[in-house]
Amino acid sequence: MARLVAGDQEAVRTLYSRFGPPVYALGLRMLGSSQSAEELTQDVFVAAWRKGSAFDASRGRLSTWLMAIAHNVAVDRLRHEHGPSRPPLVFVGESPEAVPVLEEEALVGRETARRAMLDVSPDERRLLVLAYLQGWTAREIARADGIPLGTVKTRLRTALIKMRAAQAVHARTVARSGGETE
Amino acid sequence: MTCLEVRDLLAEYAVDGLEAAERRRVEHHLGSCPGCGKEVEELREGAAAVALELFAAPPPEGLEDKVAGAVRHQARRKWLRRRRSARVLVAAAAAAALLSAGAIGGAVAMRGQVSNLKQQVHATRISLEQVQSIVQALATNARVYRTDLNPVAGRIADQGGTGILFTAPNRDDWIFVQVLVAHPGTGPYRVLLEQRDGTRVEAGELEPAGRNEFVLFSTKGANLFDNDPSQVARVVILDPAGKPLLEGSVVATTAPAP
Repeated sequence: MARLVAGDQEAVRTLYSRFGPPVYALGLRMLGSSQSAEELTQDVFVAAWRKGSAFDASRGRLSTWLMAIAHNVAVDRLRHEHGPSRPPLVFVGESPEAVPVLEEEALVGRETARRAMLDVSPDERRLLVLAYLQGWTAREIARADGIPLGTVKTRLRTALIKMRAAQAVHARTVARSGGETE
Repeated sequence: MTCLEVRDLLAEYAVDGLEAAERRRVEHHLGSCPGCGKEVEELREGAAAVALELFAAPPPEGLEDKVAGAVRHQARRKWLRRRRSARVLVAAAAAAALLSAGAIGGAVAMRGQVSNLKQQVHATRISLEQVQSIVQALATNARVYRTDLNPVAGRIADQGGTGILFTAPNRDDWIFVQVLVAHPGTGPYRVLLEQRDGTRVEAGELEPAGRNEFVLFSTKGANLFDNDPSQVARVVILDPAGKPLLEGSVVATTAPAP
């Protein structure tokens, strides 16, 4: 991370090789076009370079930190570009663009996450898509679904905890079978 | 905000679903609460799992080069900005030093016209306003603070001085102090910055600049007052025995940067 902060090109490329694909995929899913996803990816890695000195490995994972930056930048763009109106809802499992599959090793992290997503209920999955991928606020979801705000908050929290727990379980399984988890 | 109130918002915070004002309040709390910090990190891991679940569309060829180029470009801009800042400060320093010399000259000229140090102090305070305006003109968004130094209780009344503290975004902190003392001796006279939290930072020693006059124009780098002169409550000048001789409250001459 110190090398990234210093602007070391090799460090930037190493970080990109690990997290470029998921950041780009998040941009593609949330913003809906490859051009926006490319711009987002550049913005995210510049932000990571700027904020790199604030990353504390003892407080969290690099992947969580970087994806949080990516999501934050994407939500900002989404709200800036779409305002109160939202792009059409796309459920997890569908993709806005037909994409080939990457090599297996690079998808180990994704595979554990995919299995984790299958562990949450359909309602929780939909809630995660709305809140995380579509950038809806809890209040907007409550209004759209006609349920109390408190219920949305509780369900969102439960879904996130389940995702984390399920991913940890699957990651351990993958690790035992010889794959990498992050 | 209490932990209970914050925890009610953490899931929304983890998915960037809070309004800006609410997010800031949560972040303020997280800055000092390891328990809530741990919880939000766990919720973020869950959120990151949603992102990692996505079909990993292979980024277009050449995106890696664009990313590396974007970081290189920003790193270069930062380096140039720092370099330019340094140049601006050198120019500001030179300008202030010249004006300081002018002020000294003015003070010397006034010796024939005024009868005591008190009037010379008054003259140097007027000349300091020129230094302030030069610094503000040279350094965009400069924050300039000023102090008028007066004798502490029990010391000779006809002596005093002035000081300005200035900084600007991404620049080092600087201080300029000019004092006229009744019985100068050989010094050293030291300049202390008293922070609002009670701590004291030594800014340096005053250099002889005339018969009764001493000046300090220097920087100790960005950590003198952490880019925020409003942290400094008072400037104190210590005499060679280490006892307070002059002191003054620090006040803003410019509106704080937004």
